[in-house]
Amino acid sequence: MKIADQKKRFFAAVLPSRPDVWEVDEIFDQLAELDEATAEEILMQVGAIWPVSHSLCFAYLTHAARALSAELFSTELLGEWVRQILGLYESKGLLGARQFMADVDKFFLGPMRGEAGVAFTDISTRMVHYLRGISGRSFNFEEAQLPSTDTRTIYLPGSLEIFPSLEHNIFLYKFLISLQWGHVESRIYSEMSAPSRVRRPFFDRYPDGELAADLFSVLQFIHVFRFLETALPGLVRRGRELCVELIGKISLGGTARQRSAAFRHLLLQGVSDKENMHGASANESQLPGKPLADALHIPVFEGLPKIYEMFSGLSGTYTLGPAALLLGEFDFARAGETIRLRREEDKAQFVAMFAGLLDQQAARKDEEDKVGNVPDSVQQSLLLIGKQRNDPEKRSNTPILLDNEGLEVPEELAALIKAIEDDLGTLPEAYVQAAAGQAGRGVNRQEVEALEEITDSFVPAHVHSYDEWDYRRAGYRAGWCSLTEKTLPAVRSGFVAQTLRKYQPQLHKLRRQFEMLRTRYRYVRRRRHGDEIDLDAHIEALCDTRAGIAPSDRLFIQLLRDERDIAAMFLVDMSNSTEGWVGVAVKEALVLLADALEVVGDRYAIYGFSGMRRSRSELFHVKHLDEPYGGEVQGRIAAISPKEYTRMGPPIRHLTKKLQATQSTVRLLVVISDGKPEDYDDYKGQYAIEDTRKALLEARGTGVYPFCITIDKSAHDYLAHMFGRGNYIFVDEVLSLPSKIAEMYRLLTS
Amino acid sequence: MNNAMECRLEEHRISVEPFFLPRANEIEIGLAASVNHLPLLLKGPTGCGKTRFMQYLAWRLNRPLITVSCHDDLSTSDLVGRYLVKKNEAFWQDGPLTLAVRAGAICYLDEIVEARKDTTVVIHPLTDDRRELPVEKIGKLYAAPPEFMLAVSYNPGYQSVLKDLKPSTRQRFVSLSFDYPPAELEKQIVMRESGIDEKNAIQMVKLAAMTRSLKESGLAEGASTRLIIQTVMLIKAGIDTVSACRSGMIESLTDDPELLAAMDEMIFSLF
Ligand SMILES: Nc1ncnc2c1ncn2[C@@H]1O[C@H](COP(=O)(O)OP(=O)(O)O)[C@@H](O)[C@H]1O
Ligand SMILES: [Mg+2]
Repeated sequence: MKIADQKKRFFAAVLPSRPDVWEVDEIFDQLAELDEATAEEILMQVGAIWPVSHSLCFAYLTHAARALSAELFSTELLGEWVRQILGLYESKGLLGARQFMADVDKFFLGPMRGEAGVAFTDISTRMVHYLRGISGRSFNFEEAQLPSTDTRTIYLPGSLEIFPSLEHNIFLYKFLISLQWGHVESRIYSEMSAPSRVRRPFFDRYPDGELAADLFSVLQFIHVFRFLETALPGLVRRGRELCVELIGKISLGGTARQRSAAFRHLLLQGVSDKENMHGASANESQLPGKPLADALHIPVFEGLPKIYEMFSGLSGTYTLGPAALLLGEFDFARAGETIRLRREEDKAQFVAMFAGLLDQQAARKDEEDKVGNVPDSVQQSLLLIGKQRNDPEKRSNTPILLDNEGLEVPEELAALIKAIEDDLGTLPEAYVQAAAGQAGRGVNRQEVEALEEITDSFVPAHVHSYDEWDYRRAGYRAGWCSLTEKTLPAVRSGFVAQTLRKYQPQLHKLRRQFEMLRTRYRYVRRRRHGDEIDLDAHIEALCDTRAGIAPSDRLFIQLLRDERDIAAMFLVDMSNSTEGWVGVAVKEALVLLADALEVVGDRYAIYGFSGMRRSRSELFHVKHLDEPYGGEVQGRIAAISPKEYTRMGPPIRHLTKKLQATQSTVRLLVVISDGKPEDYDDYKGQYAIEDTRKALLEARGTGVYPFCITIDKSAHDYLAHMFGRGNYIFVDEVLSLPSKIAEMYRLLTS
Repeated sequence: MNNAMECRLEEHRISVEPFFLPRANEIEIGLAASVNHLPLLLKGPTGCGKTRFMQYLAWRLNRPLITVSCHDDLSTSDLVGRYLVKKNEAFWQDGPLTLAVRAGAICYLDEIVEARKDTTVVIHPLTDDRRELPVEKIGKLYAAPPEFMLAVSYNPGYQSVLKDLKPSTRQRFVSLSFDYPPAELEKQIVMRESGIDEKNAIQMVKLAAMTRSLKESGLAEGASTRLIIQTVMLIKAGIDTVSACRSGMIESLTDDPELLAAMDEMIFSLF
């Protein structure tokens, strides 16, 4: 009876999909064993899970029915359980989510009871911010058994349950992250990847390579620990105890104790508080005291042979146990490769930006004096910069000026130069030369390119063609891309209603905040008409009369509504990489945003984009600027779904053109994407980044304000370059996306 | 020039050398702008020494410094002047801008974008080579003497697109960028201004620098030099370091719980 009704509603909720009836029947058989209210609660969550993955949704229904009929937890916790399921699906896929659902006690209830283990995903946002704070740059995080880094990504265990208290386990994460950052700061990786170092595995030079590698880790750990002592004294003060405890776990049992004891002693020695010497351990090992202490105070590579010698005389095997977390692993080949790639990217980026700047300068010069020899002066200022930058005395403080007219280096370029200098010591002459070589070529190449292109272009009327920026030759490829505008067919579904329900509390707050934007009534003084008398103006008028001059007739205060003359266009990434939770969160964000924008009354439009290759960029219309927001638009929002690739340039250029045509005083272009632009052809890497950057610069040039919101696990270095500092935010927690986007819009326009 | 006016002006003269540590050649550029009668645009986040720089420059040039904090209710009369009545008699009172023009002083319009555009148009004829100020009500056109200097400040970090400076306005000025000072310099500033010891100054400066890295995580603006000094003052008043950092610095920056938690972690790493 009731079950039939529920089933009917289930089918309605999952429209437009038509799930397999047998499968659904099977599940409803299970649900029938529960009381009606419980079954209802379970079904309530379908709306949140179905759009993410159908298989996940079926798995959820089965597991939920099982867990609730066994009364493992009550229905109040169902929402939280689902939230965690979705989180796991996002990070570990269907398999991970299934595992999580299968053992409710271990994975869900245990942590809730305040058991001590902590999963990195639970604290990752905080740690991402923390690491960015201490390092001033961004790292990625990935999971691995032991901590390590390739200088760009930090690898960490997925969860830690070493200490009996949750707080200590969280602290251990923070400590391990700080250590890995310390390794990067110590420059050990760039040193090891320098060409002067022998490329073959370094530790093979020792008879016992494994021992040498372990001893190296110990020395390097101690080295970084000491660095942290000064860099982050609070961290070390709180962490010392934990380190001692971990080191204390190195097993001394059995016959093989000589080496174990030596490792333990060495490590304890390393983390001991020099100002408080009683913390140091008694020497239970057979290591000689003084030479050991000395070996700890010289650079790692000099200390290693000495320590190795001391250890090689000792017998036995050793296991490090949890102390291995502190030491981590070192993969110099991997780090070397990452460093090489990063340097290449830096160089390419520098050359592109710098050459662009030089062209800009040359163009300026050209305007002033139509005499040629621009390249010369460019060359000169370049050499000057090269010299100046390489003089460490002058370096940090001189703002880089290209010439006397003060063409200032943009902030992103300055930051890049600084990063290169930090990495290599100086800005290599070769980089500057490469930029000079590329500068000035842009104009000519562009013309040639244009000729080449025009011949093979037959463009149908409804297709828009756009140039694309090729940074390698510093010129546009004319009419390179074709963009078609399509309307997304609306689907009927409960998506919008469900989203509004799901975000009920936030929505309340959002509406209130946006209401405040709208009702920005302001008392405007000195009006000809108004609701009240402007006393100041009146007195002034009286005074003017007395002084014998004609008084102003602007004597009133009027309550005026601030006209928000804003046109905003939202451009949503519909590439296949948004599949899953990201895509859903973006759609939810649009629903909330539309709701809030209806409250303020700003003009706004929504488009999606995707496509494949330069010949088929697609822009999907969801809502035009002055189209009313209603069922039809809602149906199109619900229909947004992952399609193909991410060629960002053409849609940005297209919407820029659209925005230019509007009458509004403020024109905002908000791009919502999930990371790197990439197409099927060679639109990737640096090329894609540079074209996107160029498209955004063009937008800015026409008076459109672009702002980018990027959703990713971590912020990458290229974001600042691509979007421009201060013109983007990155959101790593998908759950907070809807409120973040609305908040951002509010900040941007208030 | 009457006595009352001289009196008002003297209040604005800076007699003791203000402490200002330059990060690059801003003093030279400021002086050069003054010699060439060019207006100055100081841009940079709040609390990073713009006002202090103007005070220093005024002292160097031995000219009064007249500062106007801009807000959206500021009217042209507030800048230029108005008639007042005293004992049944009307007399004209110069506004700060007129005062500065007539006396050859420095007029500093702080946070210029906060003022409405119809108010700030009055400065336009002062910013090009006319260098004059029309005062319609008294039917006068003041030509600015060589000593007069106009300076405005502007914070480009504001996210609102409604509060951006138009390129056409911007290009009338010589621009000086006041970003956060490099760590070493900021340390010296903090030590000088607060009297704190070097070791603690270094840590405080580091903490501020850490907060400044959080821009792309959504923190609108990191801690300024002023906030560091304010925090140090709390510490000197006996508040423990962690609480001082929280109240003096972190809590003033955001309400976002994740960002606050992350900044807490930073405090605990440093102290
Ligand atoms: N370069 C500097 N030299 C000396 N003090 C500085 C400098 N930069 C910042 N300060 C300190 O920071 C405080 C705030 O600076 P202020 O000039 O008021 O900032 P704003 O840029 O907002 O005008 C000053 O009171 C001063 O203590
Ligand atoms: Mg100020």
